[in-house]
Amino acid sequence: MAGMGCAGIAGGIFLYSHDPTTTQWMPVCVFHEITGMYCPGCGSGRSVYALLHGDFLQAMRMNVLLYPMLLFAGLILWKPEIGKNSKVIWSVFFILIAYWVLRNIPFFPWNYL
Amino acid sequence: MSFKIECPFCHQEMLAEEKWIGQEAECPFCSKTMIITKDGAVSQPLVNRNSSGEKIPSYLFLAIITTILCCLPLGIVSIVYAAQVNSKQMAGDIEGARKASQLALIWACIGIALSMGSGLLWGCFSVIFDYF
Repeated sequence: MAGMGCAGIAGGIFLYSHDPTTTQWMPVCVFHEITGMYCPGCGSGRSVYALLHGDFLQAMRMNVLLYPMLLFAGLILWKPEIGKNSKVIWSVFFILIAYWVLRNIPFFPWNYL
Repeated sequence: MSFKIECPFCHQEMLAEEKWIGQEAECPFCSKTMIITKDGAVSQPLVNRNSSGEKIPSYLFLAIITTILCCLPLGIVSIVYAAQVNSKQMAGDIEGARKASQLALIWACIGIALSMGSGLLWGCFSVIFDYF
């Protein structure tokens, strides 16, 4: 728990000082490199960078699903039994898959996801 | 039909009737109470073996973090395994639930490690190439 907190804070400090679009020290999305498609996590680095610099709108534009998912992950840490409910897990699964497919549709309004 | 069972305490072999399956029985050799199952006799009561009380983590938190922060679809695999943990446990398949739980953890960790590793490697390569 403390380790995860530390990792989160360290990641935050690192992201604050390194713009993901220019730095060489960011994890490259292997999936994006290979296929050229976006995965459900694409844009999360840029999004957190934007949020840490107070640009809320830009943060939302980079990855809309990131913050609802982070809130949900926090909820699971707080109440682990929710994270064991198979219905909940399958919902998360289908939301992620749907998001994955939709954000790869290259025209309005899907290109905003 | 009768079949062979072994007392889980004194390891004496004996014959059991098929209609005894699921019942408690006293070992005629050591007098301890065992439970007869179709795979043999066990020492713990069935309720405990199938217990929904045993906490098998689904690692859904890690799976979500991997999917959403590590830029890798590997977290999805972890989520699929996470979903199996509880349903398998409910069905009494404790071994399967434990296995699914472990696999969920392993896939999430592979995702995190790959993402961090590729980031570091990429960074090192770029620095070296820029230098020359």
